[in-house]
Amino acid sequence: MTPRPGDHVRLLVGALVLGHLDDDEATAVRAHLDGCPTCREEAAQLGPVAGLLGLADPDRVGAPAEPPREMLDGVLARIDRERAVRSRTRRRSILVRSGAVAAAIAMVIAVALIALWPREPSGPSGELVAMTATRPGVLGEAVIHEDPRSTWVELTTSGLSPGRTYAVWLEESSGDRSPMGTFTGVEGDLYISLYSTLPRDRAASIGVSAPDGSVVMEGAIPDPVPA
Amino acid sequence: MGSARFDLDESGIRAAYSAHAREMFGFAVRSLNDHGLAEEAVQETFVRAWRFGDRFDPQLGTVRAWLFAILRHVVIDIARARAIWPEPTSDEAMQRATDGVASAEDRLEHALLAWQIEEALRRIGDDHRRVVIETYYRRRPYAEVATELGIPEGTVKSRVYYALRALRLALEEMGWDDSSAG
Repeated sequence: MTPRPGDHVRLLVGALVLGHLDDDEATAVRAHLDGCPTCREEAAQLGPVAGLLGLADPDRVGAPAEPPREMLDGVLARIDRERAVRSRTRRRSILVRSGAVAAAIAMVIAVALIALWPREPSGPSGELVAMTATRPGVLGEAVIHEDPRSTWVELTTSGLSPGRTYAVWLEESSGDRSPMGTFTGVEGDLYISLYSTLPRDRAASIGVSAPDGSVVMEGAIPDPVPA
Repeated sequence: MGSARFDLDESGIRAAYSAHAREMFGFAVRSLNDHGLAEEAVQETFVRAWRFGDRFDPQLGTVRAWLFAILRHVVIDIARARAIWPEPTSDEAMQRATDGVASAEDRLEHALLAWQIEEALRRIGDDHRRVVIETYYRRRPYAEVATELGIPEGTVKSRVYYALRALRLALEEMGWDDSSAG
């Protein structure tokens, strides 16, 4: 390929934007840029890239971290669990609505259903905690997972006011609460996943509060089963 | 690289995982500096993606961009819950972070950029990466690098030029956009 006029200068633009040219070379290249829109555009394209290089750690450029083989199995297992929780919540919700009874009675039925619902065994799939709602039409259940480094909770609710912000917390037997995060109510079922640094064996209950601080639902967390 | 849609069945999850999980894990490790937490973050990201898969709009972006947007939130959640900060980047980045508002989000953005640049450096050719590492990061004179590589000094300069172009291309492929880079 025949070099075009200015090619040799264009090839210096990389060193220019890195500040690697000596004064004479830099002056010559800048003078060329003044009259060459192509090379000027080149410098404009490469300048931001040069400006980012300082963020990187060259010692990390070697072999990238490889995900563990079992990571995909973990994804699929968690999706299966969530699918199962959703399915149960939907069945319960349909049962409550189809009763067409007074809201108070519906709540009693819902609470009873939650209380009677078979417990999932604790372990990798988590432990199901029934939530008792203080308001009619509100349903909720939590799956508590114990992790060596934390407690994480999958919370499924329905019937909360769309657009309102709710806070989730874990409470110790002393009454101290550890906030886990907030979420916004939506129409229909809502599923969220939250983490807490409070160890599972110190959490006595899990609850959800409305913005005014009133408890919307709460469930007692059973003592952990010894391994 | 990004597929046009996000399928909610198992094969769809597997396809998205196969295409993006390695990259996502690399970013999560870079941000959280812990392989176990990174694994947790990637798993949580795919679960959320499955949960909200019907909201994915291919008109708005690729599956990859969508997954990374979720991953950023997950990493912030985990970092907050465990009161850890994303891993600092280089001294320069640390300086910038402490000069300004060093919120977890800011540091995460720095970690994301740092990881993108490191990933871009991995993606470009060996010859191009070598001259950038030697001349920029190790601050070695071009003449010395030229002698070591057995090539003219002018060739080192032109390789630096082509290396920066390749880096830009790699960054753009990863969704970097200098109009929002500040």
